[in-house]
Amino acid sequence: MAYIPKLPDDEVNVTNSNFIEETIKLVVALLLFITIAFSFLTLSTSLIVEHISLDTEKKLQSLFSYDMNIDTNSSDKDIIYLQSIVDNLNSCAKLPYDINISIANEETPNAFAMMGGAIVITKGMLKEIKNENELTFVLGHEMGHFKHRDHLKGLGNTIVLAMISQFVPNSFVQDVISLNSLSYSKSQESSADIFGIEMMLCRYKDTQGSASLFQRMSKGDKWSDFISTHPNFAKRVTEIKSYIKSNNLPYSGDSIQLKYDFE
Amino acid sequence: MIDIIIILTLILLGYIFGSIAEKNHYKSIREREKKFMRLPTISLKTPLNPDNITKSRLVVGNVVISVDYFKRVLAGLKNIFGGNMTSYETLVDRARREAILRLKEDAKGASEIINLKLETSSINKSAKGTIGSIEIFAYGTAIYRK
Repeated sequence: MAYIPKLPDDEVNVTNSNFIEETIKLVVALLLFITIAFSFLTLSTSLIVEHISLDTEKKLQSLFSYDMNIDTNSSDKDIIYLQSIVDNLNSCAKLPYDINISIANEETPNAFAMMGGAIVITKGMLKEIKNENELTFVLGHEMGHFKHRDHLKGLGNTIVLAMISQFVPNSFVQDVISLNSLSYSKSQESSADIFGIEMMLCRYKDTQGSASLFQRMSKGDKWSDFISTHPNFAKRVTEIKSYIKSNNLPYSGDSIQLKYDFE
Repeated sequence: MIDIIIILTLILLGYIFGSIAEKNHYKSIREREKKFMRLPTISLKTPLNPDNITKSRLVVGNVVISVDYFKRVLAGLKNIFGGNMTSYETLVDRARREAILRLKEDAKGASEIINLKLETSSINKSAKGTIGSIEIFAYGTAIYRK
């Protein structure tokens, strides 16, 4: 038996493959799979979530902990004053919730409608509001989101993202959640504006002050943060005014002074 | 976001340095294989020719090679979809050939090496979050003749 020396064959035990090409193929396949799975989950959750009962919504509410920076030290009289306006408005709006209002310790002027009938208004927003009519409009607008159940629409991706964030503890996902959960479409904002006008009409028999806040907002730079979630103030002012005009709503009454300036 | 940048950097570094290291290693392996080609290394238990044997002794070659981050990511993707772990094939191939070459270097002056055997073990097998490495241990009997 003769021994024949031979060099090992490079091709036998190693597959001659392009690693980069292989990686790209696999990554694309993975992303495609994730996108399809995510879209499917989002879509199906969105379809379901709009039809959930109030009880379920209240239960779901506890699952979501938004970092809203709620000011726990805000003075009782501020809350009581805001709450009284909201309660009065609710006799017009007839929402199936007990609306709870709280103040967020944020300088950016904004207001949010949260799950389970909670309205959060920022300190910055309270500072900008000049009279009770404007305050009523802002609160009425947020109640409009509840009326139309906007706060549940588009919650599908928030729920799915919240699920993902259980596995991926990443601030990136959290950012996406907070952005997604707080943005409404233009048409949702418009109909909430109209609901706000109806609330003013019901409360004061007048729509004075519905456009003045947005009019100021459309000018200042200070509002750039607000604009990202509530775009096109100038357009909304025009829409509000044309709605008032076309329906011949009263827009002449005196503005009602705030009981006192907010702290 | 910073997490993603770190991971991408690790993958890129893994690919660049992993490819360079692999290329150089293969170059050296091929050169040394040519050099040792004339030393018969077989897995038979007994020598082909029992005559003129002066001594025999145990010779060993041992190597540990680490997988780079890029290969690990590629293998991780393969884990999802299935298929050949092509990125690990070169790793094991290099380790095996290197271990045999070291064994041959250990057998200076031998006329042949018989009963060649290879053992494999994986280091950091169960430790989570660590980069795995492979150990290959080659051993055999070097035969010396007059």
